[in-house]
Amino acid sequence: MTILRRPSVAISLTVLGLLALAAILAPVLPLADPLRGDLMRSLEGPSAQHLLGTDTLGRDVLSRMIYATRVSLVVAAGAVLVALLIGAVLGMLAGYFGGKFDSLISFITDAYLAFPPILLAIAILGAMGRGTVNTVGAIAFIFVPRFIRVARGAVVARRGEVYIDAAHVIGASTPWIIRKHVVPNIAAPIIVQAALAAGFAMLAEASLSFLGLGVQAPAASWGSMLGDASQQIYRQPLLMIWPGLAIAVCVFCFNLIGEAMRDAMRA
Amino acid sequence: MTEVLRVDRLHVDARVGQKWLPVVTDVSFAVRAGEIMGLVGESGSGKTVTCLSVLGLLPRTDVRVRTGAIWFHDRDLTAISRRDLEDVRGRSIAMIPQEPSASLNPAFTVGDQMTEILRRHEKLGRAEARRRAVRLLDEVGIPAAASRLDDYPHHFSGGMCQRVLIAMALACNPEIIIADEPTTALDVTVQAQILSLIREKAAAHHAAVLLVTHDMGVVAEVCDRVVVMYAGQIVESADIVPIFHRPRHPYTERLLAATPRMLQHNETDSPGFAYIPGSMPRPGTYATGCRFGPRCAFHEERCDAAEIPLRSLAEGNLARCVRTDELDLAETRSRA
Amino acid sequence: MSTQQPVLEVRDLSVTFVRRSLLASRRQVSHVVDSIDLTVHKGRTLGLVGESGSGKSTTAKAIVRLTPARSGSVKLNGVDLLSLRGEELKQARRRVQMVFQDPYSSLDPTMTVAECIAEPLAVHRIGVRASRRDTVLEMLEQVGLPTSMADLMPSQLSGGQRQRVAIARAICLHPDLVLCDEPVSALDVSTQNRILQMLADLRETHGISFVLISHNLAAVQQLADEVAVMYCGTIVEQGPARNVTALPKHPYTQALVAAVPYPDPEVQRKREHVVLSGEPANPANRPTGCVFQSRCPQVMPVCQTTTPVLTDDGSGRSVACHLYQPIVG
Repeated sequence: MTILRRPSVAISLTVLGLLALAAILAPVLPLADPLRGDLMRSLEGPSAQHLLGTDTLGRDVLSRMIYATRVSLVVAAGAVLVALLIGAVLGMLAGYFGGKFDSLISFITDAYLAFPPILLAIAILGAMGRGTVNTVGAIAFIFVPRFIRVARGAVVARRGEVYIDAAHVIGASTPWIIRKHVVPNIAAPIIVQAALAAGFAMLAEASLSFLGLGVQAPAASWGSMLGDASQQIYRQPLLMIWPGLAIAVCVFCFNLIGEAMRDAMRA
Repeated sequence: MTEVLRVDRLHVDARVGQKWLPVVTDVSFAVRAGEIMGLVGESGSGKTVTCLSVLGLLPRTDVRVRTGAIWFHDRDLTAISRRDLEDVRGRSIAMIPQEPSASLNPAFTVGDQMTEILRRHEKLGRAEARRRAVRLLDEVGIPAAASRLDDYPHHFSGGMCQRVLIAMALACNPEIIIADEPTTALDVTVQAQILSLIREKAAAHHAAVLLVTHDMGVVAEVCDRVVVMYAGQIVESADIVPIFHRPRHPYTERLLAATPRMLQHNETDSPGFAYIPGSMPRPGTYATGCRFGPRCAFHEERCDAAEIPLRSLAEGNLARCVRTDELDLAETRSRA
Repeated sequence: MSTQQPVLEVRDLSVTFVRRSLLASRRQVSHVVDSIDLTVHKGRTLGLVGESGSGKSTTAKAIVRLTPARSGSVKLNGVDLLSLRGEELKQARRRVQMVFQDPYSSLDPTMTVAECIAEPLAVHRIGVRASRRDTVLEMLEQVGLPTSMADLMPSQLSGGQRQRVAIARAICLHPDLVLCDEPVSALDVSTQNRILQMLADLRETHGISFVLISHNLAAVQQLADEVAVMYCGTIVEQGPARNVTALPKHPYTQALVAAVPYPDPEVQRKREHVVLSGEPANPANRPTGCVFQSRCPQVMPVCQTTTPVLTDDGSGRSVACHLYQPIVG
């Protein structure tokens, strides 16, 4: 695919790839124990022993960062995947069949989208309780309507296409038409939406964890690390930089990829 | 007779991917006052690009005039400023587009769109512009013109929209009207009406017409002279009767053979469906020498030798063929 | 030949569109196709001619059940397609196929040429991958395309080539009847002729019956055996193609024939021009009496009160026009 040749996409994919690799290989890398800290050495700056310094409990920040990568990436990707599966399917069916089902889905989607997303997630976590799994659920919940919109729009745009009529005349059943003609043709806009959503999902998770509602100790994500670090801002300001930078870079990369794909589709 | 428009050795390139490829090569022709000139070609021949060049409507990022001039009186339209071009276009050079329903702005009434032209170019006041618009709609045969002025384009059928566009083209008494396939999107019974309207009104307003089309039947109906394009070049140029009875370029002959026609009462045999094998080469893939060579029934080695020039022939027409004097295409034509 | 069962027998077919506009209190009912009859015998080609609003495309869509018919029957080899459902309908579809007007959207852009052509085989579970591939290559040859094109995507093909792929797809199940809805109008004249010639050749080799829907009278004249002229949802004239087009009886047919320009300026400019006033009729606004009355150059008072009936004149031709019928009452 030619978009891979674009420098923005190539660099973004490399960065994300390295992060994912680091996350996968974390247990075998020569890292300090992320859970054990030396209280005598808390809130230290970068040193030979602790490349990114230590946190309040004296734990190695670098090691915690790398382990947190797992959580952040998995939560973001997981939420997007769940939202995609539910939203794209609902949107596609609504767009293809139209009628009352479509009216219902559209109405619910519009109502949904009226709520500010983060507040909605906060409300859900408040009601269901905190934790990593619930965070995935809450973020997925925010993104379902967006996928419904994109999928439905893509299907409606193509519903009148002659190749769909042609398939009917051949004798193809509705499931066949959906599987062979609708899905491949709407895959591209949905994938673009997924790439863009991944960036937002990551920000959402970071925000929720920052507020203490998302990922809970002893697990750590970049967001929760950022939350903890914010309380030490006067004593060790560097602590906020590492997770903040990581979040920013990741979101930026997801966005660059998503936008490059969208441009490629338009061409 | 005076020339209204002269296209002089026009070369236009278009961007395909990273490269610039020639889509119009060395095109020259002139349109005289009061005449209807047909610019004929199939898709890919370059006729639309030529037409857009005259109007200055080429999408600048992907298509550009490499060399050549387009003379409107003593001004070169490729060399004047955008502002000056906008003054000329609409007033002295008008256009009738291909898709009538898509060429009117759906958000404004027909009256607004017509008065916009009149106020921009003729500097008329609102009331006067409205009166003139009603007269124009009436002239092109729209019943109850005054009340239709406040209708939106979707209230008009395809044929009616085309009449509105013709009225808009005539609004400022242009010297030349560029009609870009004006009847292609219309039903055949409406086509006949619109062609006769164009001819009648052009004569009444003393306007010349450059009619771009792919249909030789349309040409037979209204044109005085014809220019035939193939693969970006002019291959033949002649007066209306000679080009049909005695074409001087094999492509013209084949195009005529392929043009659908109703069989006459006395014709018992079916002429079959004449077609040209192969397809028109795309820009950048032209053969050396004659571009029509690979598909020509009369092709010989010498046709590939060098670029073929457009030659002036005895009767005042032009043909881009080295064998034109040896071939009797009228005979081939009569057998078709 | 006429004792044999016809391949296609359409009786009293009607299609209506109902539009509820937000502002108008009444619904607008358009009789887009109004009780028409059509017959196609084996190996024959029926030309269905008309302009916008005539209902010819809707008729084709109703025959293949892309559009629901309000009433009537469509018998394919004696079986009424409109009464079938489920598996029976799916099986029946193997016998009737369609080629559409727009070559640029009738092929799925995400499928290769081979996949497009083989889809009917896959849907009906005919053969296996290898045998389907063979069929695809054979079909490509039949439509005059190089076999190397099998693995290309539609976007790499020209309009004429795509249309040939669509035709290959339509014939690969060896249907009895193929409906062609303006199959060539989006193409250049030379390409049009190539494809029309190909349809004529396919008819010879496979004995397929065709319904050719077109506004190109010249093509219909040569390719069709019979022709039916539609105006505003009804058939106004019907009969052998050469006869009807050479000596048209109905004023609308006369106007259609006269409107086809003859490619010779001296002949064309001397011809009698039958210029119809007004626009092709709107099926939502049909008048009482003859549908053609508002544009007919030979309209009479009776035309505004009584609808003329399509009447056979004994020689295989039918016309729906008061000019040819004794005025009753």
